[in-house]
Amino acid sequence: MTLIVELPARPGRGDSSPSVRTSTSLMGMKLALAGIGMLFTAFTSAYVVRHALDPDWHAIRMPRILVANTLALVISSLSLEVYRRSREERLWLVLAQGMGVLFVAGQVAAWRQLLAHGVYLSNNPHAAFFYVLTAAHGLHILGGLFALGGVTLVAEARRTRWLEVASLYWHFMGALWLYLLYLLFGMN
Amino acid sequence: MEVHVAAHHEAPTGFIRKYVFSMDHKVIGIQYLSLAMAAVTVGMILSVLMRLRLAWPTEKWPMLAHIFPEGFAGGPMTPEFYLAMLTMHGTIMVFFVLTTAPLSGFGNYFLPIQVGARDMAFPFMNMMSFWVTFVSFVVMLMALFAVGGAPIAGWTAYTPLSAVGVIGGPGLGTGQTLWIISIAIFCAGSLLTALNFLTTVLNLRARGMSLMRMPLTSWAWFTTAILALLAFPVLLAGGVLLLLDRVGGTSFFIPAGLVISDRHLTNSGGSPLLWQHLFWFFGHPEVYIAILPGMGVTSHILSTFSRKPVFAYKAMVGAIFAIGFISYVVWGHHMFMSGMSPYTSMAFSITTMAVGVPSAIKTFNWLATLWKGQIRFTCAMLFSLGFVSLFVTGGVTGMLLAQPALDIFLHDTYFVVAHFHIIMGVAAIFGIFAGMYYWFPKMFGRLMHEGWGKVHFWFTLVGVYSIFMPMHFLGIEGHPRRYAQLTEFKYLLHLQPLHVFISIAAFVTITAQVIFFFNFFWSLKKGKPAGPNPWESTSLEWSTPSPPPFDNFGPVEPVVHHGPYEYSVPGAAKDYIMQTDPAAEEVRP
Amino acid sequence: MALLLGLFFAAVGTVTVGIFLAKVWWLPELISVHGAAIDRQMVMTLIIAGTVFFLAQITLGYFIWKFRGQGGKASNWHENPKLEFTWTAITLVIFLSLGISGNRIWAQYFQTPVPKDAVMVEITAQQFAWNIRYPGADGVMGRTNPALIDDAAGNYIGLDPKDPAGKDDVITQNLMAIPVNRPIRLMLRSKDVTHSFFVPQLRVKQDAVPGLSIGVSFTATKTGEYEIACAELCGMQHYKMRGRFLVMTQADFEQWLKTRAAM
Repeated sequence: MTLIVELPARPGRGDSSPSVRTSTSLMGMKLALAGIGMLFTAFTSAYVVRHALDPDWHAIRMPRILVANTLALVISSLSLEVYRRSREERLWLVLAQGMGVLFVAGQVAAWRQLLAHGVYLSNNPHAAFFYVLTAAHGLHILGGLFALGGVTLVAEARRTRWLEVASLYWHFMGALWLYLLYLLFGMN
Repeated sequence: MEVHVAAHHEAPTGFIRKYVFSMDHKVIGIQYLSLAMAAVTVGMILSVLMRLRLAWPTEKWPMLAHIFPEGFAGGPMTPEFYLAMLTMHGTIMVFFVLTTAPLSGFGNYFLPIQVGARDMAFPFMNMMSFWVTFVSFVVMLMALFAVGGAPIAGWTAYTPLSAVGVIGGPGLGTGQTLWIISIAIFCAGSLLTALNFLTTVLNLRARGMSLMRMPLTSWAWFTTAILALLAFPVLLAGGVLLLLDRVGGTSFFIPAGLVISDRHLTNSGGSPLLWQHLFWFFGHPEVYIAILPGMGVTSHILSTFSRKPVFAYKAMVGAIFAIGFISYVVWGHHMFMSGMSPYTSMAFSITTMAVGVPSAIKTFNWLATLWKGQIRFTCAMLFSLGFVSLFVTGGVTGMLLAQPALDIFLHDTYFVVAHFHIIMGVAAIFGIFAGMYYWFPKMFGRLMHEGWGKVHFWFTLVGVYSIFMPMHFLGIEGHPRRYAQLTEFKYLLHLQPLHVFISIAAFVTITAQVIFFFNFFWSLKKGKPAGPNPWESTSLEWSTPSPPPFDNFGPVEPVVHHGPYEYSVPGAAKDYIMQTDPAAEEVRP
Repeated sequence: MALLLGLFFAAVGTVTVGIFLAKVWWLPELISVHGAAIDRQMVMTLIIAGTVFFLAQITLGYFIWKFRGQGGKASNWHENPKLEFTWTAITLVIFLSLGISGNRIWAQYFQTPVPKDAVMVEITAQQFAWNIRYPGADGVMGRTNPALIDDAAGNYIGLDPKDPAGKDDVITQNLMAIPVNRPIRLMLRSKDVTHSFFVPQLRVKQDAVPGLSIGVSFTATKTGEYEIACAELCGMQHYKMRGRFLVMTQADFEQWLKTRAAM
């Protein structure tokens, strides 16, 4: 076995071009999403087990506003994607950010609806998971809003990298939301 | 795979930026090591208190009663105080010593340098990861001194005991809640660390540093980071649900019909076994997180001080991956007696036996690395040789515990306590000591005192075997674990002398660690100055000054020309070739 | 240094194996039918594990001494696919065999059908006592309801007074008797936290999990008085959650039941 293996020349390490730094940040984000995915996988298995074990499971009805919230999030992702590819009309970015804020407001409204109907963490396990999953997802969305805001606010030199990473994160959160909807209300 | 560069930042000025809120991976590594040193001190004190009670359960300790009046109410140490010490000992050692020092401590300092990077991929996030972990430790200390006592449910926090609050026992109120919060914060810190390690290895290796030229320490840190990335979120999820059961009135882990101390609980529908699955799905990879870096360090140090390449480097890499992968499908072996389906137990038993195979391969390879070597008995080498011995001892008892039929007898006895202490508590600690003696000169520019190091080594080696070998015998006699004393059971009474022996051995061994601490701090100022490569080792950190400059390599980018373990290459001028050495001849088989 | 260290590891291997061989400390006496297979498997595994342990420590010790640096040049030997394959294969075979043989015994343990004439016993564990119940002359356990549990009034297991089948149930606390040489079917429950029923001499251990009722079967082969220990951390008196476990002749057992029923 040869002990010494010569490799072809590679881009010099003095090269810290933006595209190179973007792909490093994207790698970090992909890994982070793997971790976040495990979090929700754990919640999912808890949900499945709890559901299977409970003879007294009374699923709550899906709050109607969730339809609007989902729409908002989907539009947000689509707008963000348009902006990311064209990098032209700032309006798409603003639309993405605005729809994201609407989503959060809508989630809060959904919570208040449930609370007003006397559905709490403690008196219905299906509701308990609804609160836990939407809260966990919502916290991540808040982080995403912060990232989307950052796209507007950061210096031009960092904007592309910030946008690439934030988009990946935001689309993942959108897809995650669709999955959670299915888990909570679509699996009956 | 493309090779990239991390964000280049200027050297910081000012005390705060240089030593407190530093983004330099080297400073962060030392911060983690310092945290681990503080934590291990607390952990050892807790174990002293435990051993005091086990050896002399009815003895009064007036000086201790002064410091811990609640723990000694009425005279001798109370059983609940014992359980609190036990819980916090396990928690602090596993999380704040064994998950920090080997990975976030040495890994942070040396991974970037070993792969030829200027820093970790995300220096700001790296800084955050340390301070988040620091906050977690502070909260854990708050749990230790919580009003009502520290938690008593063990580091495994089984439900319903950990979920029902103070009606289950003292310490299960505020103490348990703070414990959960601390662990949740710790999960966040670990995730940030894992992201950094993985991105750095994947994206920031220097030119010529292919994956198969990475030292086994880097491979170990890489695999450990994958384990951490995928395991800690599961613990976080479990912790969130447990917290809600405690303060939110939910019933994730609490079934219907519980009556505790004549109080009827209103929960219903939860499953105690669900907690065990969530916890151990994290918990088993966690113990591999504790040991894998030590295995990497052992390979690295055995090679250096035998002046021989690591035997079967490729198989070693494969074994690290195999262990990492299989570690995700063995968690049920902690639950053989839990009421889980016995068929599931059979499956977990087979996977558990399977994980022993790559571990055995690594042991054979370590022995083969020594074969026909020219062994130099430095302190680092001594501890690595100790690691091999301890790894074998701890590992073979796994052959018994992996079988459910034998676990019927051995589960929750001292046999298990012996097994995990030797394989995790002691072997991993030997890995940390080996790393410390090895890398101290690089980090601080001075050598630790070898003579005192050898004294420390002998006391510790003889000591740990004296402490933990007898525990196998306690276990085979059927002595259950987590007992504050054995005096209530006739079949255990004759074992009390063993407890006294173990306790005395523990006190001596723990006292001997003072030698290490003294050596460490003395050598910082008075140790023999070390050049860049006092051990004649080949990996990239030994091509830099001791300690390395802010950007690790100075103005010239490192270029890698060799694999990591080119020792005693036939025909070479010296008995080692540095990885960055451009002038070495091509060698054919 | 090399000699000392080498001898130390050799000593670790030798002394440990010696202590096990001499049975200075050993398994408690065996008093069950199924336990014989467990003990055999335990011994066989200890022999294999002990041999591996001994050989590894001796080899390590020997290599440390034999290859101590004496100023020469080390070998560069760092791979040998045939050797690697061989020791991997041997390890795989040993571990797999142990896994299979161990699981065979495990399967026997939990798959043995419960004979019709098994003595039914039920334990409801609590902080910090064992509540043991026998079905009485009618052979049927009365209905229980956790809502009826009232320690202060002495209804530890929530026996439903409205169920006639429960009237003759024999309930004790921390005292369990069984007849020798008869199959026992023990159902384990818990009313508060997880406990674990452990009688070392029987080679029986099973967690008692709240919300579950878990069955365990065994046959005792020797009369005498033994102890039930709790084997899952359950709170501050975990270490003194002790029950007396009596194995008696059939005649004595029937007498014992009668006496307790009258109490």
